[in-house]
Amino acid sequence: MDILSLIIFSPLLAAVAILLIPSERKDALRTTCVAGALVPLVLATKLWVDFDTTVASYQFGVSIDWIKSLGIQYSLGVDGLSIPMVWLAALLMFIAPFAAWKIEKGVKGFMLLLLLLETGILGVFCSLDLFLFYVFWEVMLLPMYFLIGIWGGKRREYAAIKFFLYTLAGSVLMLLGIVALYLCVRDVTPTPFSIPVLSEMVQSGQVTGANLINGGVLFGWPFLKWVFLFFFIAFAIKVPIVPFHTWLPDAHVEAPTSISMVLAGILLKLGCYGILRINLGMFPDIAMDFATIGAVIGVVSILYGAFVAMAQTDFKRMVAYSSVSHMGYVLLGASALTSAGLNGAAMQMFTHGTSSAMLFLLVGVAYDRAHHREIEGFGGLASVAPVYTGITTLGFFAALGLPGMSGFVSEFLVLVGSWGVYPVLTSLAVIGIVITAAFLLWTLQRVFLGPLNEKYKDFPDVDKREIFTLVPLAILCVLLGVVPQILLGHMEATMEQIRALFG
Amino acid sequence: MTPELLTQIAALKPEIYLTLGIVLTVIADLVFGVRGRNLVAVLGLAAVGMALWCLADPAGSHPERVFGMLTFDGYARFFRALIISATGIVILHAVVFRGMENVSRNEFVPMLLGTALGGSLLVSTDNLVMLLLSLELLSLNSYLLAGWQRKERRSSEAALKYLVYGALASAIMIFGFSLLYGISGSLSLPVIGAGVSAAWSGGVLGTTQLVVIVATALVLVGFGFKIAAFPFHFWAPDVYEGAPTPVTTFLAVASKAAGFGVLIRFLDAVFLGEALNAEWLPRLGHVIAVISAVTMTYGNVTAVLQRNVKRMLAYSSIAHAGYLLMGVAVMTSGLDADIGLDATLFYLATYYVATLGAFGCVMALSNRFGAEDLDDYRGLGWSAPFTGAMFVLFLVSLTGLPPTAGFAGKVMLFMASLDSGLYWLAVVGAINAVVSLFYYFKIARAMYLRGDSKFIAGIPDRGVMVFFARASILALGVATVYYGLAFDGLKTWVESALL
Repeated sequence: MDILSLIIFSPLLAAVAILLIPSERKDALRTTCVAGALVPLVLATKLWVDFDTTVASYQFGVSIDWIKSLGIQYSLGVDGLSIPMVWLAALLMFIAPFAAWKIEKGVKGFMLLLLLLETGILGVFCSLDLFLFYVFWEVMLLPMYFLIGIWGGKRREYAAIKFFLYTLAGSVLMLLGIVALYLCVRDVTPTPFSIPVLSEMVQSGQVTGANLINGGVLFGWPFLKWVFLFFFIAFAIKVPIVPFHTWLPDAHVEAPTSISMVLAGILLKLGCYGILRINLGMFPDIAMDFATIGAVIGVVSILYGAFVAMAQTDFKRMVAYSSVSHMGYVLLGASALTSAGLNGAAMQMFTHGTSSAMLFLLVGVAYDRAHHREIEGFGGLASVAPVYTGITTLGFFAALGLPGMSGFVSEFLVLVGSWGVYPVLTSLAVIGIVITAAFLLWTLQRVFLGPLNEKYKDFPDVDKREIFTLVPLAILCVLLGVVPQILLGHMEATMEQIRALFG
Repeated sequence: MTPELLTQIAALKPEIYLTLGIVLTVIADLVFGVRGRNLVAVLGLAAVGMALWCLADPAGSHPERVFGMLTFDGYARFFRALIISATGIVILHAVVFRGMENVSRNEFVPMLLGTALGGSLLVSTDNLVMLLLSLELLSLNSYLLAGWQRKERRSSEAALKYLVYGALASAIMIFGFSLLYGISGSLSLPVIGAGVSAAWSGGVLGTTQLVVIVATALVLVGFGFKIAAFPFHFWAPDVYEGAPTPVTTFLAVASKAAGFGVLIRFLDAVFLGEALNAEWLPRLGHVIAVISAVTMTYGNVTAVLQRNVKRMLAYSSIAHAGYLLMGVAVMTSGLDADIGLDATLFYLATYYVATLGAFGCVMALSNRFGAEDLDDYRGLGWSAPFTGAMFVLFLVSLTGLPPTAGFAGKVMLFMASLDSGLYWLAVVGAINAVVSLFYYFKIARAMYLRGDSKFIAGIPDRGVMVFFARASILALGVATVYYGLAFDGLKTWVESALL
């Protein structure tokens, strides 16, 4: 079996093992889940090491005929865009069971669903066949629904179904787009679902939809523009981009800590990944037409997310809205279509994955102890929980893009990349950074500084398990801030190839 | 008997076994009474098994056309396989169904076999008289089965409603038949097709054309009733809710399949056989497309409001009739008819697997916990992990998400409608999938998200028959995933069933 299939399906094997363990043996279940998530992490690290950074196209590829009658292939491969995401996903999914260690209700189901989720996520990042991509994309929804719905907070039912409905609404449109592309090319190529083949055919002008509809024009728009739009809406909901973001605060707030972490850390990146891979990588000409609109909604997301985050009184809700803001940078960077912008966007995906995951873990720490998340309800925690305060400060600094931290590098790249193209919008985006700094520092002040809230004079500091979940992320935040080349070196060749599509 | 007659009779083997099953089960009931419960079931299952075995026998050992009235082609074989195997699974569940403990289950089996016989002949015939007879055999048995729990008010109401609506629909359809006979002077569908196309040849819209339109409309009312398409669906929710669950299962799967089987054969023979006025056929396609869109939207939106699980699944089956009509609309839209037919049959097979499985789970939960309404389902997923997980799987398939067969089915339908230029219909279908998720997952929500996650024992279910009923659920579950991930085989089978 090739390495990518092993990475994707080893969690599934562990899930089968979990099925066989009786539900009373909770520690055995947890350990199996950890073991099942460790395998992909180790393999992904090996993948990272073996990855040839000079090659822009897909590596470690596999292609097996799957559904022959439709030319669907089981086709996997990673390039500089997906390999950081694969590794990040493997890391966060390894941390997730530790973050969920204290869950006592239905441990078996939780760990099982977590592993299924991991298979889905890793599969999306590795798929080179649109049909396979879609299958993995949808396979994630079901475990997520139950993870939020069963183990979530008070409004979990609402949050879970809202997440499910929003995402599905987007993905059925994507399905129509995929089917439409298939119908355009099925007579010309034996592999009408292959992402590389389709990209090449679209770019060389071989796909117009003229074989389906006269002149390739549908309701006044070129056929492919509709396909592009359908894909974009699906990904925009997942990212989420304002105005499709309303599922996010609910899902993030109601989900248990480990799941919020996975949601913010990886699931949002799937939308960004789709935009970069499909919307930009497959339809560069149409993407150029839409670039300005993309930049505008990116900046709207940045500002809107930041302002709304500032207004929150709930710690977790604040972090959730800050994600909306941070995802705006990805869209802005991608819309710039410049080398720096694209690299910045791809790096922002990774850095936000580490910093937001950290923030959600930190919120979880506070919530586990105080059983509430009111920012105003704490105060002076620095004096009783110094380690917790230290790590939180680090996480906040990474999130607000302090120089020397990973968030700085990626946001800087995005702004540099977009400045030459959209000076006005970029200036507005800078305001977003200031607001982000403002609400994060203000929160820091209200929670950790000032006089100690008497209720929390026995507030225990973070324990070893929590430190274990936080430290890897903290290291990444600092390391990538100091030597971003570790990450950028892997991405550059591929991002340059994408940029080259735009002349 | 001439040898030729014998070979013709050989084609009827599955039907002969069903008939034999009816006779034997009645005799076994007479001899053993209530004690012979399992024997009757086994005899019924044996008849079904033999019929299926004969069907699986590669074609060619018998002539395709028999007695000038029946056509045992790949198409008929596809539908007969669905109807008869569904009957087998329903028998299996009916034997252990607690809701039917107070009524005789022994007569139930022969009645069910009779219904299957009717359905099996219905999808094989191209003669109006045979069509009518087999349709009535199917329908009359169904009316009786719906009212099987005589002392239950809802069951009797269901039977009466079904009978009244059904009789009305039959009457309208027969009137349509008489008009078709008037045009063509024949009862055979291909000849009627020739007659209809001759009637069109005038070019201008005259009286003869009008007669054709009226006749078509009247006949479609009859078929629309059988498949529960809007606006002929009114009977379905009440009947599905009131009838004993095994009967509901049969109506939702076998009866619907039979309805589609005859509808498609009728449309194919009458409108697609001879080159009909190219201007008018797409219009028929558009009418069906509109009915399809309205049916699925109505079914899905109304299902959202339901609290009774059986009633919800009834509306869901109306919605799925809408989906199936999507393929029929493509078929009659004037382009390549096979694209639409292919998608319809494929979707029907996936619908068959998921619906049978879902109703199997409804019956299992009803047996153990007496669960009927959504509120009764609270927390049951924790007490019945196997049934709960399987139920979710079937619901996922009905919604049309991967990795299940329902997803493959929806892909085929979307593909067909985009291919034929029915873009709006594909978008309506896609949005409907989202709506359907909302109510299907009300069941999942009740089972897993609500109630306390404690174990409730319920009334334990034991016995050989229970084991086999469970095994059938598992087999359907495996099929759901298998045909979601590797549907080449199913596609090939469906292609062998094209008209």
